[in-house]
Amino acid sequence: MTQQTDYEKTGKSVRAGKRMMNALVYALLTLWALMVLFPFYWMVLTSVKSYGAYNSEYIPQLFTLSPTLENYIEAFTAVPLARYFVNTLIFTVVTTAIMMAVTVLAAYAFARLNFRGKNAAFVIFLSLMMIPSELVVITNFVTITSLNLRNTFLGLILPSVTSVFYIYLLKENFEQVPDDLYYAAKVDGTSDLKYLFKVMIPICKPTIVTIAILKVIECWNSYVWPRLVTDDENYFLVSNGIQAIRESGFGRENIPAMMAAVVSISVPLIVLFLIFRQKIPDLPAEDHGRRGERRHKGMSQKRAALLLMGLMLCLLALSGCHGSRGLEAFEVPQEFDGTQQHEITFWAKNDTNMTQVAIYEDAIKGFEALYPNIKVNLRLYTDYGKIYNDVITNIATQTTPNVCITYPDHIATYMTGTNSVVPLDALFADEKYGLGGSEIRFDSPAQEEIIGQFLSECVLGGRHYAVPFMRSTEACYVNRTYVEALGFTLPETLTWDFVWTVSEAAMVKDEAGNFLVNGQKVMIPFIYKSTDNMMIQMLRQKGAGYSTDDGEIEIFNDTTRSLLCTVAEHAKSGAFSTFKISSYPANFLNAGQCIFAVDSTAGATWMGPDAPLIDISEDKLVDFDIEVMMIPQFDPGHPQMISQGPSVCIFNKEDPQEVLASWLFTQYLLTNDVQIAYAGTEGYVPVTSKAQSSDAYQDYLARSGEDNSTHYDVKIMASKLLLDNTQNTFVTPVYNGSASLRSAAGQMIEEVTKAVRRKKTVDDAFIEKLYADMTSLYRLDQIAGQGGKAAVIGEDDLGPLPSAAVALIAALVGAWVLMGAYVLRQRLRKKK
Amino acid sequence: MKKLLAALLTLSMTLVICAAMAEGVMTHADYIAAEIDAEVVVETYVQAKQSWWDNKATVYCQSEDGAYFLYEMACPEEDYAKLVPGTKIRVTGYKGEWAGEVEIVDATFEILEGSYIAEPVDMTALLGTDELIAHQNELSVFKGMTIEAIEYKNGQPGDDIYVTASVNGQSYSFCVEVYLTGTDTDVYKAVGELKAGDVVDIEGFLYWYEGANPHIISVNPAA
Repeated sequence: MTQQTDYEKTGKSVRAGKRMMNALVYALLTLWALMVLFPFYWMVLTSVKSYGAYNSEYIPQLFTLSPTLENYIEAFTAVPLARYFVNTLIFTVVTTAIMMAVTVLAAYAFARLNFRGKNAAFVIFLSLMMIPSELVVITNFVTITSLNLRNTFLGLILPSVTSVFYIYLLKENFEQVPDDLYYAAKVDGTSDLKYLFKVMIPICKPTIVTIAILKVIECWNSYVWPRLVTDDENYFLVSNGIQAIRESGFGRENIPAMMAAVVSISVPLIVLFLIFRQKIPDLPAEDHGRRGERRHKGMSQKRAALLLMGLMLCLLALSGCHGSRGLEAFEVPQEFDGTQQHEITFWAKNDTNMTQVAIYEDAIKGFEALYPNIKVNLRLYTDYGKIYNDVITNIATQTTPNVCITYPDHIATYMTGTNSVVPLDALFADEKYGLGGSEIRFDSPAQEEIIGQFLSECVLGGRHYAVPFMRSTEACYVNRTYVEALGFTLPETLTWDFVWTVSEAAMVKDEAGNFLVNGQKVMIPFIYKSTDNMMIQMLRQKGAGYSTDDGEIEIFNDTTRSLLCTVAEHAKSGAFSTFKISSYPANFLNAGQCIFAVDSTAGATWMGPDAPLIDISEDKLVDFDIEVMMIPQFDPGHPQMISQGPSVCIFNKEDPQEVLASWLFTQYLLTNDVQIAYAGTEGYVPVTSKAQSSDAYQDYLARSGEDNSTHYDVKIMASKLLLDNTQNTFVTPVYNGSASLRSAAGQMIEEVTKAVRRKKTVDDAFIEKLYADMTSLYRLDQIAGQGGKAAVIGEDDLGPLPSAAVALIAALVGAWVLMGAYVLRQRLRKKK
Repeated sequence: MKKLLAALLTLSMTLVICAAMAEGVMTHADYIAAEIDAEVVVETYVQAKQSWWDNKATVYCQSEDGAYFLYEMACPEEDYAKLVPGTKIRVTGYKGEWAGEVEIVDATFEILEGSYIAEPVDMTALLGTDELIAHQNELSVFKGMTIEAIEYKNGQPGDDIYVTASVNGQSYSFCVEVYLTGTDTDVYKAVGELKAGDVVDIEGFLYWYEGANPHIISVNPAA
């Protein structure tokens, strides 16, 4: 009895323990289920809340008493969500069908057939699995773009129709089917294909169904590839449709409608899973119950294998295992075909000056009259940065313009695309179509008639990649009246010391807080428009480091430190500021609130009390005598000033005739009419000696001051400043990253100016941190890391590989060697 | 007793910390009174977003007591998406002034609970007066404006549109800031189609550039 009681007790405690354990397990599972299911619940709940109810909730409600379907109506009517569904359905069904066919055939060949090189081929396939899909996306994109398959279903589908992983998975499954079945089928005369369809597929149906489901899910959720190859809404899938809704549709404002859209696209997958989950048959692979027909027909194993291999190789070509080689290098055609119609795009920059726009349009009309088979489409920008960004975006898709106004710094980055920018030396020298060529239908300048200094600025890596279009420099526009009122006399050449001294003298105020020099509450004596140029020119004048021609960064030196401290000192007193901090120097100068305003000579029409272009109200204008002077110098005997201004580059195209048409238009921009007209819109100078020495241009210069528009004296003085000092101008080295260094140079001046205005201390520690911040922000260490010849455009040597890249490549090579050794060993074993 | 004292101490310290965190938040009047280049902390509500580039956002904000223009505020792209109209944010930055536009620069922000959408206020009567600048960056409406000139910044659609409109014989400048409106929007197209002589009500944020230069967000035929 006691023993029985013990057993009962033990049994009870065990059962109790089990119940507790079960309870604990179920509790944890319930918790986990809640965590997994809650986002779905929240998604559905939000989709049935009204917009007002959702936005008025300060504390999220876990239920709603007034559900509504209005969000679903909004989702389907605000955007063509139904069309996205249809597109996704087409994409999913077709891709899955093709992929299944490819996978089944390939897996069967590897599992069952015997052909020469089978193991090697399979090893190669497996090695492809080591390549991340992200690596091949870009090459696939370029391939699809080259085939003009963007915004097509074919472009969406083709790269997705094969999967090494699924082939491997199915091959393993096929191999589990006993050989005896195959041999038996062969004895009965069954062909390989019939065996596949009658025996293998039915036996391995669970795996095949699984692969199909996974592929359907993958296709339905596919985002990166459709996003890349489609920008036409008619080809959007639900994934990029949802993203479009989020970015530019109602997605950001109307969250409930967004959730309704997401629920709508999720439902088909959930339903599919539920249906097919029940449809997966419960057949083990070892079931020998099926028998194939015992007939042998059809192609030999080898032919089937070869056909399959051929198909696979064609499909692999679209799976990103090769990259586009970019455009072919341009070669000058023998003849320009005047019968072939060309439409070329010209991206031009103007200074928000409608006269300049008119000149571009006149130039296009004049050119098209001479070349009726060439149509030029003009696209205007007011900002070099925007042109740069748009070009960079379009290089990858080879949809760059034909002709583009640019800076050499920017060309350096454009040239990271293979043969993207046309080198012009061969075009210059061509007898028929080169500079001053025999077949040119207008009076184009010869190469020696382009100002050598300006032309040399367009050389990168020893070749010309642009021609100069206009040139300017920086000038210091000075309020002479105020300088003299302060008791100073303007020297022939301004020095930095003079400018700082006068600027500090101008900071004196009266008891009422008005500046003595102008009687106003506002006075910023020295304002600099482009702090990039300010730093570059100061360093150049000091003979201090900026960068080498090869891209070695030299700017973080003691001279820079000293210059920044000087700037900080004068910014602290309020004697100095910048355009980014305060506004246009011209506005302050014209209002009598600035004495030394440094800006481009191409901004001269905005300078002075009689300026033809003003941005302030007329009642704020102050009358004063204005001088146009060279920027301040450290050594007046050896002045140094930056050379700047737009150049023109040509982007390569597949049709060399189109490139030649672009070159002809580019040359037209160098004709006297265009050069003189455009130079007269601002303080530019023509880039050809032909134009500079022409009667028309000399007459223009001689009539300075005749009026305050075409012959505005400040503008012409600015042009003359450059004409008289061309030999004192310089440019900075150009390489991939030079634009970033330039920005960093200017930003350092901005940062010290802001710092002192905000009562921070600019000392050595501040400067050291500034150097580090600029290096990081502008990735200057990556430019510096290129070093040597590596940074020069056109050179093949890109410098030493980073150690991580070396390790990765070594690992890949090692893996290949091991695979090869394994295959060899297997062969040797077989032979033995 | 000891436990009670410890709990009271903890509670009081928590309250002090919370109060300290809320301190430093300025009213709009405090902000206006602050010096240029002073550090400022304000709590305000997003009304519209102008642009996002290189992890910086430019945003129009307004509270019940005034409006702010946040220029190139530090903002990752995913956070930019959260700045929907009405979102309350605490902004820490520096007060700056550029061509007369008082703005907050070099700012950071955090999103708070709360929502507020400003209603446009009729500022027509204040045009040309010294009182108008006190409403800088506020959502405003200017009624019965007669269009004098419409000019694309670059002579062709795709960039800003400069609008000159007059009322009571005085002309004023307005601007369709293309980053704010985009070029495919109704307002961009509507403004581009305006002609001299049209009389319209113009709604926009009272931006300042060397004088009042509202950034237009809608135009409608004058009532």
